[in-house]
Amino acid sequence: MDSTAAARRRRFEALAADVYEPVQRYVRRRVDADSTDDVVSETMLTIWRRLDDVPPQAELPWAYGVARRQVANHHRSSRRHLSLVSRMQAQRPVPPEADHPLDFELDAALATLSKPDRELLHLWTWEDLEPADIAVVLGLTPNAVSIRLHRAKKKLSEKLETMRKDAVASGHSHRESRKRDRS
Amino acid sequence: MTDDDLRRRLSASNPTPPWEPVDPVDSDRARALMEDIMSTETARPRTERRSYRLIGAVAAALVVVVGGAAVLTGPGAGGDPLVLTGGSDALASCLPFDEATLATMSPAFAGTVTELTDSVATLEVDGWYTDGDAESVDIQYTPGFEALIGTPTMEMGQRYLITATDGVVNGCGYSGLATPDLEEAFESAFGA
Repeated sequence: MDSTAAARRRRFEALAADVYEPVQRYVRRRVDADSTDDVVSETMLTIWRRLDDVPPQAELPWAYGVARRQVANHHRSSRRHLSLVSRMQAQRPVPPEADHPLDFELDAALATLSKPDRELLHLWTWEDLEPADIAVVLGLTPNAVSIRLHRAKKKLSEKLETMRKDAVASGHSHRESRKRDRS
Repeated sequence: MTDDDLRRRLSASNPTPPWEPVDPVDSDRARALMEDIMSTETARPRTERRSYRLIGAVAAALVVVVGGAAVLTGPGAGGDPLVLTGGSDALASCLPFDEATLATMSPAFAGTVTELTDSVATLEVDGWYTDGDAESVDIQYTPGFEALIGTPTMEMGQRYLITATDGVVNGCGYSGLATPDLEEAFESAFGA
């Protein structure tokens, strides 16, 4: 093996040590468990092929960007084959062990947002990225990400507030009707 | 709700929190995968490098869109991709962009390029502004129109806002990279 090839292998191994596990988590959060390995493999293969393009200061966000495109390809090819019901299940990964509390209200509020808005919010929280890194993932400018993230947070907060008010009003009306029934 | 509250609530909904174990990079399985990957050719796939111009010139402001090339095949519903053409032999003539004209265009959608070949760009749709419900759209290119002015350049992984008229993608600023400004114009024009 010549020195260039050996150096390339060393660089990839060092990069993989940093990004392999976070990429697995990123993918697992967005596809079903059975497909995670395939999508991770495709992601790592793309990183190997494009090793010369990896920005030194933003390796992990760049790797997330590659994973994001592989996840999109996976969902697209899945849709060709799956029925509507199984498609919905596949697009909404079920946690391996649902030992964290399920927040149905949050899920419902998120479902009213566009897919790009949801992805922004998840990169911000699940991957714990700041706008400059999200910009690398999405191929946008940090400024554009800040603006869109601000809007997405506002939309989600407003939706949650509306749902909270509706729930209070519904509870109030339910109590009133029970009172009337008793009198 | 403050940003911190929102962040905490979203983080708590994480289906795979950071402390849950995943396959470690020094596992036998990961090592085998890395070895397998490093034994493959490193030539970059063509579709990762190339970019194309949407050949859709056209119409735009005057909405005298082109006769011809177009063709929208199939209803584009459900899993069937909508097919638009990015080409026309009409000459492009752009007038200043305005939302009233944008609002007359149909269909209109937002999508991300997930596949790119010599002749077709496939966009995964994340939202329809009007007249569509397909999950993906294939934009077919007609050779020879790459130099037309006012048409967006399509690149893998980028998100675009696209309008078409009579099945032909509109240029002249009426389709393009999904910038906040263009997104605002689409939301305003189509009442999204």
